[in-house]
Amino acid sequence: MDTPQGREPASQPLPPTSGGNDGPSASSAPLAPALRLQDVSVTLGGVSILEHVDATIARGQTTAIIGPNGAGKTTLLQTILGVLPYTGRIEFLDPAGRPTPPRLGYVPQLLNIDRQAALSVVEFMALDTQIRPVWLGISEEVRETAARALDRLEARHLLDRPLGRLSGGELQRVLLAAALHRQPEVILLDEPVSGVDVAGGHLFCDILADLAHDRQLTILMVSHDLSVVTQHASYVLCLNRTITCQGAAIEVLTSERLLDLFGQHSGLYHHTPHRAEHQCSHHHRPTHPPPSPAAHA
Amino acid sequence: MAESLLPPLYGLLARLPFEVLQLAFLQRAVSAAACLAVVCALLGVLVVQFRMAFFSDAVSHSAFTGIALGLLLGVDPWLSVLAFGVGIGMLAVRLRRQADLAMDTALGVLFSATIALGLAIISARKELARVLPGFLYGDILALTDRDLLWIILLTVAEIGFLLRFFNQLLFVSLHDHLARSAGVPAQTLEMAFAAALALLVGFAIKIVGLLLVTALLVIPAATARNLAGTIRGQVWLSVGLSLLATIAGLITSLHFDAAPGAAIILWAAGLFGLSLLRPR
Repeated sequence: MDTPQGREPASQPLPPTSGGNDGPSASSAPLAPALRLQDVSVTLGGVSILEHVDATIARGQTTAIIGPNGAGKTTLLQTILGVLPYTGRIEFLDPAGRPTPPRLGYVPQLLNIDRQAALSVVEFMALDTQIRPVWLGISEEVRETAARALDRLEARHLLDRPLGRLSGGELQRVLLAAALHRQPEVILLDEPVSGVDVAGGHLFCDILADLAHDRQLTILMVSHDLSVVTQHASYVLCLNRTITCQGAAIEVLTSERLLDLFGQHSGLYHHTPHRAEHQCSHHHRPTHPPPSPAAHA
Repeated sequence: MAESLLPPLYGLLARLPFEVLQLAFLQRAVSAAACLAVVCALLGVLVVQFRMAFFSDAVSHSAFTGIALGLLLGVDPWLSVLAFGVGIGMLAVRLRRQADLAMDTALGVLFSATIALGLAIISARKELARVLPGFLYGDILALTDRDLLWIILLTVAEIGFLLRFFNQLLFVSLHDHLARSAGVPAQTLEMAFAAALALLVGFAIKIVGLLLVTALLVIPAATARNLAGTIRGQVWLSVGLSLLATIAGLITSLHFDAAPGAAIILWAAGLFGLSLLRPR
C-alpha cells in the first residue's frame, strides 16, 4: 500500500497554534475548552445529516474537521454558527468553564460570496459597522477602523478596490479582517484554501497562525485538503455524519484511519505537502519559495 | 390638512421652464413619477442583489386577483391590490422557507394560481373588465391629489426603512450566514423587505402598469451595476437613470400619445443598452 509520502513527522513541526499544550499556560491550571458539543443532531428536509455528534474543541488551538464529501462538515460548521436548527447542546465556554455567549468570527467559502456586486472593500466592511447607508458616505471613524483591520492582514491597499476585482487570496484576507473586527474568540473557517492562489494561501495561513498565537484564538476549520490539515491543525475530528475518530493530528492522520474515513480513494485527497497547492508551514516557511519537489527528495 | 402640502409643490413645478407643467394633472403625474422613480431605483439595487425580479413579477401579476376580489367585495380595487400583493409576498417568503423549495418554484405555483383565480373571476363578471386597462397600462395621467399624497407618504416610509436597514439588507444579500453570524436578524429583515417591496410594487402599478413594474425596479439598478464599482456609485446612478427615464418617458409619451409606462420602460431599456457599450 502506498504510504502517504508527505507525512514526515520528524520534519513536520507541530503548528505553533498548539500553545495550550506547553509553554506559559502549562504552569497555571489548564484552560477550559472553548466549545462543547453534546449529542448534536441535524435533520434537514427529512434527511438526517448529523447524528449524535459529541466533541470538545480546545481553547487556543486549531482543530480541523475532515471527512468525505457529504459527511456533513459544512453543516456542522453552520450548526455551530447558529444558523441551522439542531437537537442536542452546543455550549461556548469561558476560560473558567462557565457557559458564555458565543463570540464567533466566520470566514465562509469564497465560492459562496456574490462577487458580482458593485461594492468596494471598505463598503463591505462598513455594512457591519455603520447604520447610515453606505451610499450616504462612510464615516472617517469606520473607514479608519476598516483600514486598521486590513493593515494587520497586509491588505490596507485593498480598501477602495471593488470586491469583484480581488483575487481569491485577497478576498479571503478581507473576509478574515472583517471577521476579526468583532474581536471573536472562536474563528470558523469553511474550506480556507479552496479558490486561493498558492502565495495567498501561504500568507493567509501564516497570518492566521500568528493571530491564533498572539490572541489565544480558537480556530475550527473544515477542509477537504489534507495537506492543509496536516500542517496547520493540531487536533483533528473525523466526521462522517457522526464523529468517527479524533485526536492529535499526527495520530489521527494515519493511512489506516484515512482509509477508514474516506474509503479507498483517500489517496486522491492526500496531497503531499511539497506538491500541494497550498501549504501552511508557518514560521518555518522559508523566505524563498520552496525548491522543486525533486530537490527536496 | 395634508393636502396643504401640495400647492407649494405644484407652484414649484409651474416655475420650471416647461409649458406642460402648468397643467394640474401633469404636475401630479411628474411629482408621483419622480417619487416612485427614486424609491424604485433604491429598492431596485437590493432587488437585483437578492435576485428577486421574479418575486416582483409575481406580486405585480397578483394584482389581477386583487382587482377581482376588491370589486367582488365592494372595496376600492387599489386597496385590495395592495393588501393582496403584500399578502402574496409574505406567503411566498414563508412558503420558500417552510417547504425548502427554491424561491422560483414556490412563486411559480403561487403566481399561476393567483393569476388563474383573478382571470376566472374577471371573465365570469364581464363588468369587471372595464377597470382592467388602468392596471395594465398604469394610471399616471389620472392621479388625484389623494393618490399623490399616498405616494409621497409611501416614499417617505420606504426611504426611512432603507436609511435604517439598507446596510444590513445588503449584507444578507451578499452572504446570509455571514450576516447572521454578525448578528443581523436576516429572516425578519428579509420578510420586512418583501413587504416593503410588495407595497412599492402595488403603488408602482399606477405609474407603469402591472406588466412593467419589475422593469422599473430592475432596469435602472442593473444599468447602474454595469457602470459602477461601488455601492455608492450604483445607488446614485440608479436614482439618476430612473429619474431620467421616467421624466423623458413621460414627455415622449405626451408627444406620441403613447402609454407613459411603456415609454418610461423603453427609455430605461435604451439606457441599459448604452451601458453595455462601456468597455470593460
